[in-house]
Amino acid sequence: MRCVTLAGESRYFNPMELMQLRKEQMKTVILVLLILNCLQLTGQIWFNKKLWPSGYNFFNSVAGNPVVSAIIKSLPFARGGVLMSDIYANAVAPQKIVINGGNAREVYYPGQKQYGDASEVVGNVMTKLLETASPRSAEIPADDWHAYLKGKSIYVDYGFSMDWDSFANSFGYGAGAAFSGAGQVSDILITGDSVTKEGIVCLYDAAANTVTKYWVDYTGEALLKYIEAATFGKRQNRVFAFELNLDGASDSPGIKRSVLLNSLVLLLVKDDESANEIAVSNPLRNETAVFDRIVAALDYTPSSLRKSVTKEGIASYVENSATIRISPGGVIEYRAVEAGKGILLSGSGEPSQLVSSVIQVANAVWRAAGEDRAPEIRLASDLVAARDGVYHIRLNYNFAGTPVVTRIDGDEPINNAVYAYVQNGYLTSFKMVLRTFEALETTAPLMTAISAIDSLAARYGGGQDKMIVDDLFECYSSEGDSRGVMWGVKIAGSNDVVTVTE
Amino acid sequence: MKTIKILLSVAVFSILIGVTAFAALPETMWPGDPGNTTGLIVITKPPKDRSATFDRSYVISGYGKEGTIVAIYKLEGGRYVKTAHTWQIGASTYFAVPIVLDKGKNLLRVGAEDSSGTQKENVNLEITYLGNHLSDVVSGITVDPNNIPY
Repeated sequence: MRCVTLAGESRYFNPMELMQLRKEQMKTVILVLLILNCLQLTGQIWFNKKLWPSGYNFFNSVAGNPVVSAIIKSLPFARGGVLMSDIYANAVAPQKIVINGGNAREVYYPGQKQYGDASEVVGNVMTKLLETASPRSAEIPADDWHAYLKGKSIYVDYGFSMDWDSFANSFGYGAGAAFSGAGQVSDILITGDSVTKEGIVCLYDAAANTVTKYWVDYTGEALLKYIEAATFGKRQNRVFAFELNLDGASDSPGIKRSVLLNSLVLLLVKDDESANEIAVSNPLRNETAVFDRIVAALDYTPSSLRKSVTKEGIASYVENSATIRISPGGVIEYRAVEAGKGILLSGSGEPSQLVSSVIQVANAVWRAAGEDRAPEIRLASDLVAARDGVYHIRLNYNFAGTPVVTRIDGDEPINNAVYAYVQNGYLTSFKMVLRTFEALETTAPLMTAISAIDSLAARYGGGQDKMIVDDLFECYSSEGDSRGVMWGVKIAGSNDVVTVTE
Repeated sequence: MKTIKILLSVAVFSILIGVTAFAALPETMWPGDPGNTTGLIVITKPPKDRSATFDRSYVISGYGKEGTIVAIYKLEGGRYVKTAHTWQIGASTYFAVPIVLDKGKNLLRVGAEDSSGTQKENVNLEITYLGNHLSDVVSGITVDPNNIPY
């Protein structure tokens, strides 16, 4: 007989009774675990967007409700689905935010405190717009758009276009947004109407070249006060091309121009700018164990693949349906023979989810390479739903708010830090260049924007077709010997960025 | 001896040609000198010959033939005197030069000369800095509201 205390009461049990008691206890424990598991799985299915079937979902429609979203935010398993991860949010954040003060202008880049403050102001206004069922709207001409850019306003430049769902998603709204617009969004402008005291939001669609103005129930005066505070005592060292009237064709028949400027190209007119140089390194260790981990990160088993190594040290892992190549120079390439044989990406196929999945694959490769933290990465391709299910997803590194251009020439040139070809939800081709960056104490001067355009015209302007500069921005290069900041140029009709140095 | 003199003359002449080619624009100009051609440069900002601004920093922009030497002159003591702003137009044909305006009217001239030195064009500009300080108002600056190109 043994004495066992149950619920504060001591009782004597014989061995058989004790065994029976322990069996009952184990059954209770298993039952409780099963119930908890059931609740957890139910929560995942209800609140994790990745597990929703396509079509209408009740929880999606109430997700925008403040009470419901507050509850959802507190649930750990809901964070990956209804809310974007921080890494994805940073990847689709605007490339710059410009505060126009009338006769002063400030430009903020990711990583700066002022960028965070400005993002918050933008987010508050956009939330108001997305929660308004049918906001008053009107399409405005280019002159009005330019007038707003010259006046007191906040200009948000993404650097890529988004379809409406991706745009709303970037502010935390899925299909739960009360207002659904049409077309794409490339840039946002926010200002206040000092007469009607309303907020004004202008959405620019670069593909259609249209600007739609919305009136928002937001205190216009508060917006204007923020803009005045941000630009007080500042200068206008950066000027839009249209402000200098340099965005049109040449009026003089004797002056032949090979390079034209988009109206919204922001030109640095000061000639004494300088920036920190950076050191670029390849973190990939030329070790079999590291290469095998990278293969495993791509959901393949290294031991089941046929491996070969060239004299240059490039390792190839081959199976019937796919090939993985890893170069000691830090280049990883994956290619499947057809879409259905590639890596199935999670999500329902929306562009934002595909981009998020590609970023997850890239981060898995980084961790496999032994790096705890991947460099900042930014989207460089449009976030627009493709009817044929084919996506070319391009991502570039960012260092201290400055884009890093990755360009490796060769038989199959590489023009981005990460490139993914996705077809019908399958990752069919993937290229990635591993690089890490470190700021140096030394600085290097930066030529003026006009000098950069001169260099561009001298290099490429010999052809008959005119080259249109869509964007001109300061950047670093992850390849070559130059470590100082240079100019990156986006040419209309091309996905690649051309770099210009002295 | 004669050969040495000839060689020295040729050398000095060559050096002078080089100096002349890069210092084509004169240090001063008479206000009445319009140049001898048009279409060498086009000033896009300011959009008109006379304009006004509240911003002391002002960007003069435009475009012109590649290789054209351009300089900004300021009217002082009855003559246009060359300022430190001198540049050569590059392959893009664009130029954008930030200048600092004086209080009140700034009578400026953009002088341009082509690479051969034969074609010259002068564009006169009047840019009024309206100012945003009380001292400017007290100084008695008057502005014709009909002349503000906004």
